[in-house]
Amino acid sequence: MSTDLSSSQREALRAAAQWLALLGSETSDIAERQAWRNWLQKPVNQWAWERIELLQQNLQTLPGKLAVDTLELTARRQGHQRRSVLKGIVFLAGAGTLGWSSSRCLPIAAWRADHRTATGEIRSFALPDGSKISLNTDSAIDVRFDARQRLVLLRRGEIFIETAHDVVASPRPFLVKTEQVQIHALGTQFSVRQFDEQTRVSVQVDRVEVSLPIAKTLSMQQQIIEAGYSAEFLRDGIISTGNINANDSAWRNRMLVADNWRLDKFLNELGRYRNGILHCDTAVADHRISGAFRIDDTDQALLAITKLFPVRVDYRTRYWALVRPAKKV
Amino acid sequence: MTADIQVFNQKFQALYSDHHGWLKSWLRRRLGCSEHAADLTHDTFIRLLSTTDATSSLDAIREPRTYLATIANRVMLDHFRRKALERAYLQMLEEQSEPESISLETRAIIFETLCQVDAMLTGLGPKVRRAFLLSQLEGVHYADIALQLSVSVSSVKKYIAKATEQCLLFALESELR
Repeated sequence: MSTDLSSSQREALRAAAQWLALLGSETSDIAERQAWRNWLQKPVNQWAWERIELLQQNLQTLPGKLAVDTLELTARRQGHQRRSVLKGIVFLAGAGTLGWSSSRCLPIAAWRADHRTATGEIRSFALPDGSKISLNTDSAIDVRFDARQRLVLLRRGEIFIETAHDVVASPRPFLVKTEQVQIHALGTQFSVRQFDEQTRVSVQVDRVEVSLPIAKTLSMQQQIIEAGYSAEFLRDGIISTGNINANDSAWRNRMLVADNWRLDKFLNELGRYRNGILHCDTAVADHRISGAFRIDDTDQALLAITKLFPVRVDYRTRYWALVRPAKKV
Repeated sequence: MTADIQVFNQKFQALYSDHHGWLKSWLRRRLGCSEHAADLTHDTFIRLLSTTDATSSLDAIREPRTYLATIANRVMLDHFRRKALERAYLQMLEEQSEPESISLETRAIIFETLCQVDAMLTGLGPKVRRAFLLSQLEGVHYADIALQLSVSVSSVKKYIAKATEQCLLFALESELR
């Protein structure tokens, strides 16, 4: 146990760790290096530094980004404290959904994604094969086109894709992957949205084939979605299907279209396009709202709400707005 | 010396025959799978074997089933953690744009190292962990890490120092065992 180490050894290890942290900085200077060399003179400190070098040797064998992503993905899925098994709850075949971070926290893959949009930004561009893609607010994708496939990884947010024919000798399948499913585009226009724990797929033109693994049987389930329909998927199954709704494509025209939505749902959606927090008091959450609102001017939408319902908007800070019952006169 | 080992073996065997059936049922109830239960029962006794060095420490176990259950819990934790790492690793490999031509053996070694690193970082907060991994495995500048984590550069340094210290202690502990 660590109690086998003397206190001077423990102290030396602590200092060594601090030296590593200092010297590793891009702003570390000669004076620091010299101080470190002085510290290294003592044999116990020399020993501690050798332990550091041993650690570094081990870490160097790892493929940088791949290793970090693997470790962080695991930590996110399983939690950092490994609490789930100790509680006696065990998920043998699933991904261990306990410990998912909320969408407020930016997962590392999304931060380092090939393409990202900021809050309120909507951007369209062409993929290497000529396909068109649009990214909605606060979204992130990685593009992985190679010899065998055209793959888009949806890390975060919402995208719309219009696929192009693959003009190569052997045409490659166009695939989109989310946390929950894999989507095979069968010549189409479709949109995909990544929620915290589910994926929504809506098809505007032609069809897509959605695959998801079934844990118990270790097989894949496939679901075709035709134009005009949408479906939502959890990690291990489909949870709903329905007609496509106007809002699925409205964002590309910079509009938010509500169809008899609860006010809290509306504010949740509107909040995607605003920096900071937009909170709905439970007392007013039940109000039903319909209409088209411009995404570019969310303040205008909030003003409209105060005219439609007995509510007011409190701005606690510049980035923290609460919608609450209007003061009684 | 030989006599000591013989006594130790006898006591260990007794422990095994008295409790392995119970442990297997106990594990099966938690795992929902008897095949895994058998494997992990085995692993639990192996781990018990590797942590007890003398007959005296076997004698010191007052409540064998409670003790075995504690070890089994850790074995289960490690097992699921390992499985999760494996899934994540395979997923990352699959998503690489140019699949590297590294041998299966190298891949296995990398995976073992990943498991070690993951174990070394147990209990550290997400920001501490991330700061350590980004700086040590990817050489990201502290200023960039600070930006990503929304903390100061001096916090980044503290995080790296804290995680490194824990790694050093962990490595030593597993060697001394």
